[in-house]
Amino acid sequence: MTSPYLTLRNRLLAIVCDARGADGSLGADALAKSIPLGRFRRAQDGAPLRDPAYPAGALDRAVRVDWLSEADDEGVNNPLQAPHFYASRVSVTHAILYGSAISAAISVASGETAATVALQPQERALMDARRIRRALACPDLLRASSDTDPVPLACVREGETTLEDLGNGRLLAVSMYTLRWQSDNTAAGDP
Amino acid sequence: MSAASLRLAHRAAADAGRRAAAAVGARPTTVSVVVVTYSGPVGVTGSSVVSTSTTVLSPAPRVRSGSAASSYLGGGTAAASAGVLLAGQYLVGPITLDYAGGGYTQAQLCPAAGEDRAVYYLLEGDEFSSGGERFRLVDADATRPHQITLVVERTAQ
Repeated sequence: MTSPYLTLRNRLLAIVCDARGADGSLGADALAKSIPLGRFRRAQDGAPLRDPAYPAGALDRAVRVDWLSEADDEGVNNPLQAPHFYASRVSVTHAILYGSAISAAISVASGETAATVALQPQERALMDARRIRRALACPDLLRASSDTDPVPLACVREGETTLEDLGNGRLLAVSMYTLRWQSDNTAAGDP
Repeated sequence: MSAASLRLAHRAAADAGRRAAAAVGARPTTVSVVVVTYSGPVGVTGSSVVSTSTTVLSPAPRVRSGSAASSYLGGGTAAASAGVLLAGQYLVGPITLDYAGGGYTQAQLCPAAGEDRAVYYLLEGDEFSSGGERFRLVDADATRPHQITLVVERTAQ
């Protein structure tokens, strides 16, 4: 059995990095809130985005998903019943590269000019965070009719998106989410 | 003879000395400058390798171990043996700057990376894992008249 968390991570990254729903197959609302292919990329080799040795050329708009905690959702799950419901805290971090000297390594979206946005890191970071929040909160993007176990139910941003300047033209935007999901209590959950 | 001509003559002499060192086996590390061009931004879903350009430095330059910092992107022998993740730095050079018969320009040794271009240095030899390890440029010192020295650090493999 695949780890439920791996399945859930793949769903979140498919929304953010793989243009899930951008082909219109998940409906109009999903299409409107989908993120185009090429806007964000997975962290290279799963590396922490705050690692000083992270390659600059693969950093801009790189995204990392980190699980932080798990709790039973809305009270305690009855061990004799299924399914069980969980609320998992997850941070979604994306990186922004900035500075005129390294503008060539900035991954620009259509409508952006590298030389210009190289001087607008906070604006880019917050707008990107909002774009990610909008997509992750969209039920039609998050769920799939074929989901069986686990089943993602809702992904809601909790609190603020915070910006952290790492120096050397590197900025991180960290957003906290609560992902609610259900799982079959009869499955052991072994790898 | 002008100062510029003298400088080029000195570079040729320096390069001859470096070739001699390499010829007798005193330079066990092979250093390559690799530029990978992608169809889109590096690492983005759907972006694929369009071309790879590899320049093997000749003569093989001197390579010395420098400092090292803890990093997820560390690795190599110590990681395989003891799980120590250190991103080691190495000094590559001196490398002879360009002259009529050889050497390299700074642009050849330090090509510009970009949104869709990744640059790395492949170091192969006894010090490094089989198949070589990838490094990124940290600094390049070309202030000397005849030579340039690169400082590289282990990066994603």
